[in-house]
Amino acid sequence: MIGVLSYLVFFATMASILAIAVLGLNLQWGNTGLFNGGVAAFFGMGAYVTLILGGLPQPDRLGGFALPYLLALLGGGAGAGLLAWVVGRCTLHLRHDYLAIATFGIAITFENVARNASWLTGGAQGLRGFEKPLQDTFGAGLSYNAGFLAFVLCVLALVYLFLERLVASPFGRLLRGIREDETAARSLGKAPARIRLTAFVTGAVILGLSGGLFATFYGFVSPQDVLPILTFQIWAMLIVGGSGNNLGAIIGTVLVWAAWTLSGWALSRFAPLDMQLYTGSIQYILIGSVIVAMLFWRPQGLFPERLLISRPARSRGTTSGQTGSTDT
Amino acid sequence: MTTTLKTFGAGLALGLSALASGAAAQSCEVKIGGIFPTSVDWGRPIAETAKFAVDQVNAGGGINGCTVDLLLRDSQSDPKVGVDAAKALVDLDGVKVLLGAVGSGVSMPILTTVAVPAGIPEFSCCSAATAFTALAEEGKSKGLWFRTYPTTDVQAAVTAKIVADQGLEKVAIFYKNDDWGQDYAKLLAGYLDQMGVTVTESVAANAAQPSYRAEVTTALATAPDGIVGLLYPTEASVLIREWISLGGSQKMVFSNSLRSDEFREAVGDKYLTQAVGMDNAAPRVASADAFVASYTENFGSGPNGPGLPNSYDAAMIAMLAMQAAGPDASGADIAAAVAKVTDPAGTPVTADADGFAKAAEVLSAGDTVMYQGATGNVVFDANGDVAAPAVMWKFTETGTEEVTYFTMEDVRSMLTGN
Amino acid sequence: MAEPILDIRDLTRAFGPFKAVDGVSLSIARGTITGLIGPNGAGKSTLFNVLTGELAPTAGTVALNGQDVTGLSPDRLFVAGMGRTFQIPRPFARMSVLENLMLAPQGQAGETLPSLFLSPGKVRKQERQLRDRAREVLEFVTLGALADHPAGKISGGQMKLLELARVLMGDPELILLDEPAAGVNPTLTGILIEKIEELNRQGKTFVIIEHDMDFIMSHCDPVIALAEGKVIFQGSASDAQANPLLLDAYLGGPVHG
Repeated sequence: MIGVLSYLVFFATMASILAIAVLGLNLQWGNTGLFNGGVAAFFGMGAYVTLILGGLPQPDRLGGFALPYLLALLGGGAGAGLLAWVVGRCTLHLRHDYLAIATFGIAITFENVARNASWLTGGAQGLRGFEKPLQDTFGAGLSYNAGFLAFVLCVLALVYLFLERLVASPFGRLLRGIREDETAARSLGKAPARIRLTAFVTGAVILGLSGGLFATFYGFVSPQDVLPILTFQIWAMLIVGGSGNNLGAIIGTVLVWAAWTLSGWALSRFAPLDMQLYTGSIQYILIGSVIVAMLFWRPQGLFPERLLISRPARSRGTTSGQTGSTDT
Repeated sequence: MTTTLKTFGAGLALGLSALASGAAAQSCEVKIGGIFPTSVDWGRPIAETAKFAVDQVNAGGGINGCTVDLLLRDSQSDPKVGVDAAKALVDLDGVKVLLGAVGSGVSMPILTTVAVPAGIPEFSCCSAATAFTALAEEGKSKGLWFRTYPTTDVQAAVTAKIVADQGLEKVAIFYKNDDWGQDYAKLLAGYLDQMGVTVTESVAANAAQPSYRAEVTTALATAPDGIVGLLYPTEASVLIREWISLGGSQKMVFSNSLRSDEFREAVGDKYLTQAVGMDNAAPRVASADAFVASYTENFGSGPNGPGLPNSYDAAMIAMLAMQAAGPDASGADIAAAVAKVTDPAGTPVTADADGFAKAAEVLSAGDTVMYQGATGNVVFDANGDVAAPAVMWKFTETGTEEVTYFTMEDVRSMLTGN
Repeated sequence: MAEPILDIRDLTRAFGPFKAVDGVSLSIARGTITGLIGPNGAGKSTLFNVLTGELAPTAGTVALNGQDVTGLSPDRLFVAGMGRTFQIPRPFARMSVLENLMLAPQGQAGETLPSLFLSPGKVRKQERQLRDRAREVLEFVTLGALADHPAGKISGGQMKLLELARVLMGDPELILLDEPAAGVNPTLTGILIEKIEELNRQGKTFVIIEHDMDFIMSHCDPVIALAEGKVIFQGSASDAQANPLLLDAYLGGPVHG
């Protein structure tokens, strides 16, 4: 049925956009161990900058530079990266819990700025004026959404391949080393501050790209889109999927987003009408329970991190004949 | 082989027709989608009120004889959840009408991403942002956007009318530096300009400053006949005192936010004798009282919460439009039929089960109706916006009192949609 | 006398009014296995932490190969040629033993994003060389069979060997070992000593901090003793054994192992 297809394309688009964000957080937390409590700020920065750069000129407002779409999107990523660089220079030396609080504060600040700097962000009303590109070619309906989904999937694939390469590389090894034991890494001549900043900024650029795709999907962004709940959602997706595992991050996103949306749909469908008023609350309880259950029974996520990258498949056979017994 | 297929085909056809006739024999169903923040404390009554309207319509015989099934989805005040819910309602459940959402940040992406591409009308009770008006003016809402909540534009038009009625020719505007104040001041300046009143200066006032001397001096230098204060009591108490102490005109017009004892006491009522203000008002029509009565009867308490009459009217008008558009109407047909049920020249119908049944009768005869709703006689302008009644008030020694009541029709005539 | 590899002058580290290291001056001669002993609280851990850059000195200077390295951070000290191990081993627990080694060398092209993506050929080649060298070093410390094991799952003694191997990947001239024998079974201790002595013959200089007098006396020369933040003895192992000050210091404090 065309309706189901249309919805699935829509669902897949949003899930893919969120998956990109989760991949960005995975680089920061899963691979590097940086507790980013301000996901919404970097996502939002990407969203706002993309719309400001790519939107049509607006009266009473700076921005609306009508840049080509890809350029605007890259600008959004760069904006988020810049924010991360500034934030990172100030906060990355902090301990986990303090870093979390500091970045959480950044997200709140960002939301407040977005709400109040109406000369730039449109204030509480939000930022509109973005024309979806290639609408003349694809029309406005399902075919356009399918085309946009294909584009988002391409970005997701590129980000995924980039991160997989990164994780398997000496850089990824270094990230894991610093995450495992910073003191030991320092004693081996590694400078954690620089590496962590690189990872933090790179992750933020990916979060920003996701935000840019999000804002251009709706053609609109408002402070409502960058509330702390977004940070929670992205974290939930990563934890369910398995932090440190890029594929797990993507699958976790799809599962959590499906749970988030389909549970609402199912409840509206099958719950008695009087109960429907309470579906929102029931949904919160369901989703909360799933996350708590995950944390209890499978804290490493559905797809745990693959830790030993240089397993025998890639090593030479010089150790054959010896047993790997340990004498603990 | 062929025979088997034929038999199978015939059987299938038989089965399908049996199914179809069975469905027709049962009472049919019409689905409408509602997206409200039901998990938020103030959001649930808004959804409950929409459901109340649906119950009334079902009691009045349903839409085109079919029972109305309201599919409620929770937006969780999260735009992406709300947009997804709207998309699912349209694509999976096949609704032709969306009610909601509440917050503009949710309603807007639903409109641009779901409603407009699918050609489905969206009836919001509560989204107040002027951005919707701008979108409609750009032709991008395709006539699919309706809201029963008045925007800042209404406040601005009434304020301008009051300023002109006071005989002021040159005014300075002080406005609170937030989205409400910015919007208000801009719209007000537009209306004043049309009325030939000069705005000598528009001065933004940030919240919670210990002194506004710089702002006051700026306005004073332009020598206005009077001022307009679009402020909240905290900053106005300081700013207006400074304005008067520096010899500014005591002819002042205020926004509804300054209809407060705190402000009156801070400034002193002897300095406020020439001051007046505007405020929104509840409609003083029988239909509004009837809504309060039936609501109270149904829920055990009055409709005391934001957006409840608006939610009721949004749902009612949506369902009346579906009735008017007839069975199997497209979303665009339903949007076009809104004018048939909010026609000031149409037969008046009340906002209850009987009213809906009567409307169905009138509409089936090819006539139009005027829906007399919980917020009065709702009429949408070309941008899907509504007017609302207002009052002019003044300060007394003990509080404030209303001087003039502007009916919804009065206010509508003031709106020029600038 | 040739230039000392490590030259410490008037080094002091105070915690408030308490001087944990109090004006220590020492020279570590190139090519030696120098033992550093002292009872609990003598200040040897603090001295060690100052030398490895974990703590900043309050006063004094440290020179490595004639170069002033006072107050340098641990990573820069490693680059300058000083490696160290830890009293309680710090393996990268959830990485393989081989990866632990491959992480250590400096100047890897794949550690910076631009060269990782712009010169993948160079990165691949370096990785191949690194892997081969890491396997050689692992064989040398007798951990070849454990190359693909998670480093957190090997025994404490093996971890000490792993730490030594990891440091060797960076090829420092001077290696500081923090209680290498503590908590290790005799067989592995034997292997460790054998490897240290072999490396020493190849030209590496070692400084070993130990509680265990016997270990120091039998494997280190010269020996330096600390008590209450000050050097109380500096000389050959045989002299140390006969030194009454040293015995006093040890008998005065809690005797260990």
